[in-house]
Amino acid sequence: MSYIDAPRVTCALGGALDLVNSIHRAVPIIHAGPGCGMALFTGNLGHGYQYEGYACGYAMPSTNTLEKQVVFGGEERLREQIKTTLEIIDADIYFVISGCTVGLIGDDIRAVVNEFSGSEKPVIFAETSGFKGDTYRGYDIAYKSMIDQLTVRSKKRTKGVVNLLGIVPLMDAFWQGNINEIVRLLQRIGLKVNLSGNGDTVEKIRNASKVELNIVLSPNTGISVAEHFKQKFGVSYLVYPLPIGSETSNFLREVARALHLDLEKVEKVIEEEENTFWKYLLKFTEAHVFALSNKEFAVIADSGYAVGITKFLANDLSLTPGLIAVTDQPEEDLREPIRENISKLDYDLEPTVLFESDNYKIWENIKENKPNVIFGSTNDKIEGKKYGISTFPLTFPLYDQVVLSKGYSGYRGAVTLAEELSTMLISGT
Amino acid sequence: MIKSKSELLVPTREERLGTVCAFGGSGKDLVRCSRKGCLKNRERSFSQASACDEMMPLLNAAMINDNVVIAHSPVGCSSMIPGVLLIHKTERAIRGQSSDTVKTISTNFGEHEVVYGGVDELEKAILEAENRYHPELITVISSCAAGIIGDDIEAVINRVQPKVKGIIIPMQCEGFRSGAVATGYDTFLVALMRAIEPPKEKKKDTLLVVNPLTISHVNELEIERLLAKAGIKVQYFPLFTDVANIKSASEVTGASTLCNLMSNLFLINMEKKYDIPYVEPPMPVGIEFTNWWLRETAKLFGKEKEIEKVIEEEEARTAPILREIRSKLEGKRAFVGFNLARTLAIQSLIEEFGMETAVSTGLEYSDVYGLEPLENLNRRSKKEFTLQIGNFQHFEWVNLLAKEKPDVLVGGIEYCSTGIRQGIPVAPVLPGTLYVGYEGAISFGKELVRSLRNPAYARKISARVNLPYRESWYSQSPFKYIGDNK
Repeated sequence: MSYIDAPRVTCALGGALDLVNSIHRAVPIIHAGPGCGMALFTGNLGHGYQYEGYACGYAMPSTNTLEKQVVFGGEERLREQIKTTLEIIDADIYFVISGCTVGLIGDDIRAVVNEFSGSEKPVIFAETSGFKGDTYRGYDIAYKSMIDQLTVRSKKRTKGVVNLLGIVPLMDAFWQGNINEIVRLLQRIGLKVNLSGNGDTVEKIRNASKVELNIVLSPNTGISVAEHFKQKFGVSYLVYPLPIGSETSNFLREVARALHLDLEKVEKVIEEEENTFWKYLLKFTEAHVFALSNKEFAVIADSGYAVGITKFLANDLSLTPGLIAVTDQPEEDLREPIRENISKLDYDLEPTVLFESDNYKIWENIKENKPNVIFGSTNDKIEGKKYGISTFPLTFPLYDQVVLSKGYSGYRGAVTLAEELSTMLISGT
Repeated sequence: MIKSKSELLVPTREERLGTVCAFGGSGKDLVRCSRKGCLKNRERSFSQASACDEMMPLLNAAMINDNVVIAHSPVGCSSMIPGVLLIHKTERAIRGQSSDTVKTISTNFGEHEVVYGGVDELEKAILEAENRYHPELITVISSCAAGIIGDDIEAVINRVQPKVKGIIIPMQCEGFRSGAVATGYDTFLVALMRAIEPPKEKKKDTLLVVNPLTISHVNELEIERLLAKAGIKVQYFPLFTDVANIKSASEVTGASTLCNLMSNLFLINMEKKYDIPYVEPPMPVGIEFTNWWLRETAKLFGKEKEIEKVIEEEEARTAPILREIRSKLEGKRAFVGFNLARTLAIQSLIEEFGMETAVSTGLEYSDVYGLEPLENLNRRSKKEFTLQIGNFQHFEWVNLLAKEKPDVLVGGIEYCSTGIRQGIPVAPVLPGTLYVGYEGAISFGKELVRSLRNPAYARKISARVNLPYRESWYSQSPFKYIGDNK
């Protein structure tokens, strides 16, 4: 793969770790070099300082493979570590995730984990060597491994129940807030969410095959997981990038159509939600004139955010889209649909969509086009200051703010975003 | 020109100093064990995430001005950098430097590189670093993956060095090399010697002070203040400073260190190469250790008399304030959590406040920096204290905190968040925290007083925390999983 200037991602092991830390009473067993867990956790301070997970941070079990294991293999060390972890840590699921070292020396992780198949609580694994890809890829790999080893085969479909996929916990610092709003809205149209991605239990993971539909909230991450669900259990899926603002109404309509819900009832919910949403944006007109009118924006974010943010700012707030830099690395066949989705705006606007993870190249474009505001990371904020450009902190690494509960998705998140964006521009921070 | 791979490899701390990363017992046990020669490196059969050999080179290199860090690794290794960007921002601000990003390029190993090697990508990354930033320094940090596939980093560097303006410095630090954090420091500091030029002049009465990223500039200022009174000038090495200051490090007439755990091999090599005499006293925290540090350092310049006068003045000035602080802290019990050099120094300070150390920790132990201060503390402490040596290892801290129930935890961020979750109020040492020297004793003493006064957050949080350990863990020996000698 090509070198990256100022990476905006961690590695496959990082994505796997983020997934494990989002599961209720799950414990990761990191089978990797001594620093991997710590490095990825330290990097997590870039996720808005969240100490998230049942056994996260300094509590994460890790085999800490040293030279001896590199030379003689790490299987014996892993066996010992699983045994002692079961002894000392009380969890509902033990999830072995592996790093580069053991991937290169070729440990048979499956064989070692299988020795613990008789344990009271499930012990599962995913092979997530860092060189297999970035955080998003690691999330996909670990998710698929998890359902392969835990989810029961079932032809039964429970009506009105869905899974949410595609939001990588922590990598999206606003993951909990974003998920909560989508779950709230799906419940309002009469659905139940089985896997939401926020504190899912082992029970829910086991039953994940019984849902009627998988909803993937990213046009990249989670699609291969949903495809896997489809191949394996016959669950169909809908891809809809995280909706923000009035776009949420279209999202709810598509979900309703896919599940054959009573459309009239759904429209009633949409109307209520939109009424509240627009009520706040009505109050906003004065601030909008001061802070936002005719401003050009750029987005530097993964594809999950790039679509929703662009639509909200352009379609609801009348801002002008400039550069939309998509920083995750979707497979070639996914890029055109993403480009189209970002570009399909209500008015005849032409954002520049760039698939790029190299920071320097992204900034070459920004410096040339000088938008008024960027949606990006704390690094972008520091860089933006040099050129008099404001930056709305949204994406990894976020190390100058603390994120606990808020999100920007749906109707409520959009109002928060409008408040914060205009506050930032008015106060000049 | 790098002649051979071995030229880049420093010996590990385990090899060179017999460093151990697993020990549990009392401070006295450790000294006894060391004296009898039975201190051996043992392994844990249960372990948790820890620091690796790559971490210190990578994170410290990120704190050198006008340097591009090239992480020759899969993309995840450099993702630890956001964790220290707050330090970067804060420490630059304290020095009056503007906020800036850390220039990092990851060679981003994929499946292709692990099969065919990553040297091509490294060459491109170095040339691109030059093209984009024209830095004074380019530090190339290796990784587990680069080490296992056997990339010939030195050949690439020899080839591209003529094409770039700055000095390219390779740091050979595969994460699996050593269990001791300090090996990474040796790698980092010794590698930086490649940038140091032969002296053009010798600066009279100028002291080189080695300081890592975790001891804030506010402490450097205190040391500068004290040494200036004795007529000694200070040049810090090597962070948050222009590369010109690194190049001229050989022009000093003596060297000392704010952290004797990390600087050992560098100081030895600087003496060998540039004939710079050095001392490595314990960290100057608390009055006793500060005086120890000042006296040893002043000897390098024959300023014994001058420094005695400084000590006398400072002691007289600060004694009443420290007595007042002592009256509020006396009898309180503390858990002290840092790597060993800082732990022992902070322990010395809290002893002076009439406090008691219940538990102290270190990521590693070696006689070179540990034995003398430990004997000093064993002598001075009212009660025996438990000493945990482990490269982090949260489960042991948690067990010890539950057993000892200290009144306060003094520590780095990793220890503090653990303490809060168990209901213990904390006095953290953070970027910007002053605790070195006389002013540090006063400032940190006041922080300790405040930490004890309002434990509300820790108390309320701990009532709601579910720690992942089984109930049975708390009744067992915290050191149960430290195995026999292997």
